[in-house]
Amino acid sequence: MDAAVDPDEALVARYAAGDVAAFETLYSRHELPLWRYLLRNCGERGTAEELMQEVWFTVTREAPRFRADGRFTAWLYTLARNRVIDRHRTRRRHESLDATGTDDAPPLAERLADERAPTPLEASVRAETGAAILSALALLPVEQREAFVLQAETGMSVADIADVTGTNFETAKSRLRYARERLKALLRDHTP
Amino acid sequence: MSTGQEDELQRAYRDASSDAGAPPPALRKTILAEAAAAAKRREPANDARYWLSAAAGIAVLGIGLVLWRQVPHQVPGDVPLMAEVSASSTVQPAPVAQSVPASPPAVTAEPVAEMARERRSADVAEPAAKAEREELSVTAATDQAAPPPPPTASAFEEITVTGSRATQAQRSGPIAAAPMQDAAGIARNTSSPQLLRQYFPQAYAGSAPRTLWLVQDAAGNTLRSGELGAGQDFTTINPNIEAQFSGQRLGPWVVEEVRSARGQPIKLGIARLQYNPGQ
Repeated sequence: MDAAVDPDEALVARYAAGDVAAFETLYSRHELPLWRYLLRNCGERGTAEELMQEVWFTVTREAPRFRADGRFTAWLYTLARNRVIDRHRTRRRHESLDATGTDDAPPLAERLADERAPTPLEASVRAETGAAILSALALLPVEQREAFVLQAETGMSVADIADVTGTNFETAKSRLRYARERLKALLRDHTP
Repeated sequence: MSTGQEDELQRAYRDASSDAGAPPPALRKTILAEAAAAAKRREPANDARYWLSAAAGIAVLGIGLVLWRQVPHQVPGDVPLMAEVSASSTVQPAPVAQSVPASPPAVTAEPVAEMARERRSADVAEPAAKAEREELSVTAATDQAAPPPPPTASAFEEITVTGSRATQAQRSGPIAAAPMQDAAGIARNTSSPQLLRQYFPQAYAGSAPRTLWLVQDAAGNTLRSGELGAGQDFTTINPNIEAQFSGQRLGPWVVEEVRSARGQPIKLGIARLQYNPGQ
């Protein structure tokens, strides 16, 4: 069976049976989205790294007990969300989602300009748009931001977002709608 | 939620969010190493040899448990041996009725040690009886392989305990050399008057009518002895006795009237414990 097309749940089962390569595939598949989710919700690279390690260690430990009928993505982000909440509780730090959130990285506008601005105008627009959306995201209530990031990073359905965030479908849908409206309004202001 | 504007929104977010980069390679290496280690730690559970050794271990534990249960164990609160009882020289009142609220009859008991001392003094006055007992002691000496009594309970320690366990304790004590000490052997080979002298020397030497009882196991070892109070019937103590020997019930009482040394009538009831298949 080709690991590239294996569903996550099959990879977890294979890893639980001792197939380490299945875990590597799983990790590669979810590494960046999960990393961004943690970074967006922690705001600090060091904290995100700690949580990233905790979440994946939990996956390695609990994989044999993962229910075959469950959704791996929902489980993974539930683990991540719980650790983010725990970290906020212990550090009494709420809402530290700065736009860039990195300690040692250059400002977002500069990096956007460096990486993919073919022209100074486009680079400027992208940088402004990116900075704007991340700034707006940081201003959103944490529940709305969380719902939006989950959907944008993982492509989760509303039902899965509701599952991960421990709420019902309608509430998750409302949070997504409010988040989008706020972000769209900001984007409109920055669209040339 | 898949309009063009929403796609544009998500695309804009992803563009902006790509600045987050990736976690450091060292973190990735750490996580993958832990994943491999965790998988290795779980390997024994998937190994047939592990299950075989686990099953063998459980089997050994089971056999050990069975063997342990085969060996009698005395636990705190178990009935005292005769040697322990002999330390007390007072006749204790029968607290059976206090221990069991279901109005059991009062049972008086006589410590065996005291009985033995009194019996030795009675021996001096009764050469004929002494000769008879000496003869019986020979029988007892050849009967040391008597089976142990059934397990006993501890709720009524005041009741005199006799039998092979008590006999073994006596053998190690100073009285062991004296004749007539193998109570189990005597019990299996003696008549009612002999039992009376053996277990109720005071009553035998007394001048008052008594109603006494003995409980024996199937082999004839005397396990309990006592005296009924006025107006009590032998069967009234059955529940107390059976409660001390779980899994067994008391057989019918065989009552015999015996004369004491002073010619007084003494009722001696003897009942034997029987295995109760209903329990």
